[in-house]
Amino acid sequence: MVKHRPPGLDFSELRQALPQPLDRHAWRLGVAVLLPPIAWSVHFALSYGLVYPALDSNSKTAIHAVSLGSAILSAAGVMLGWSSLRPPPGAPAAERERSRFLALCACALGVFFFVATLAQAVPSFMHSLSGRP
Amino acid sequence: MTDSATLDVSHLPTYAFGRRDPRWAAVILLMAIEGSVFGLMLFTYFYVRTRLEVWPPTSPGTRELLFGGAIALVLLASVVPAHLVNRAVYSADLARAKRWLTLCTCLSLLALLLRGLELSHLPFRWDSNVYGSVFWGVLCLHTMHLIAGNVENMLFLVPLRRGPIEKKHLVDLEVNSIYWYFVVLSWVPLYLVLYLDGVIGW
Repeated sequence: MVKHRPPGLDFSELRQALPQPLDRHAWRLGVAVLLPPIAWSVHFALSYGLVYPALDSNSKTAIHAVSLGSAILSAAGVMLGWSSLRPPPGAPAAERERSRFLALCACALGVFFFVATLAQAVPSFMHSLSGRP
Repeated sequence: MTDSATLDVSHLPTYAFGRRDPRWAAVILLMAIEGSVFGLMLFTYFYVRTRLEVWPPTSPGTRELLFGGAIALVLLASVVPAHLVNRAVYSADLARAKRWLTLCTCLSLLALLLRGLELSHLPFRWDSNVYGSVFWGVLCLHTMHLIAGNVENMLFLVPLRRGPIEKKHLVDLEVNSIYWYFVVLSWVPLYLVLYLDGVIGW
């Protein structure tokens, strides 16, 4: 039979173990890292799905709009990462190092996915809807 | 002999809830992967929708709509005991955690039973047409998560009833609840798309 509490439970340790809320800086870093790959993957899927609707409507506007949106979101990831390079004042050394690493990752990911989005958008600019350049 | 850098971590807890535990990160990544798969399934659904002249080729009936709705209601109700399991875990109250997890498991088993009825009453097979394949694909994928969630809930009930429970198991219970939130919340958009689009024609 299980007891009411786990053996060896220390309530001060339990209080220390409770989940800590994310501060604004951590949220911003998380968004900066995740935004570019999510934007690119949505762009990738939608660009594929919008080919037949573009043929039906004889317009590539929707495809270009999705590419533009993805590029803007990737650029936003770079800007968020860049603005998070400076760690919050008074943070411990390990926290500052982790924060700077994630901010640099966000910048690199943002640039990479910005270029990837542009590269994938090139064919939709170069090819006409009739299939002839 | 060289001096090596040492760090005194004796003041840190031996376990931690939330993002400080690797199991939390693992389940978040699992949810991200599975959420992407659900997203791709929905994308396939809408892609197929644009390519067919008659949509849906074979519509699910009102009975299946009601089964799906009942599953959504039961699953949403099960979020309450899952949340209360978390609250009990944060105060290390095993008796309350056991009580609420038992209720959550009963509701999740009921949802699984309703899913069985839903699948058995669908008016098309998985190989009837492309719509049937996508529809069955989405339902089976979500059913796998329902089964996994049920198995996990029952696996945690065994040590909660018989022991032994250690401090580290509190974190497992927390992570289990987070996964259950995902199973429940993923069904809401899937239900809205599959049934409100397929049956009502939104």
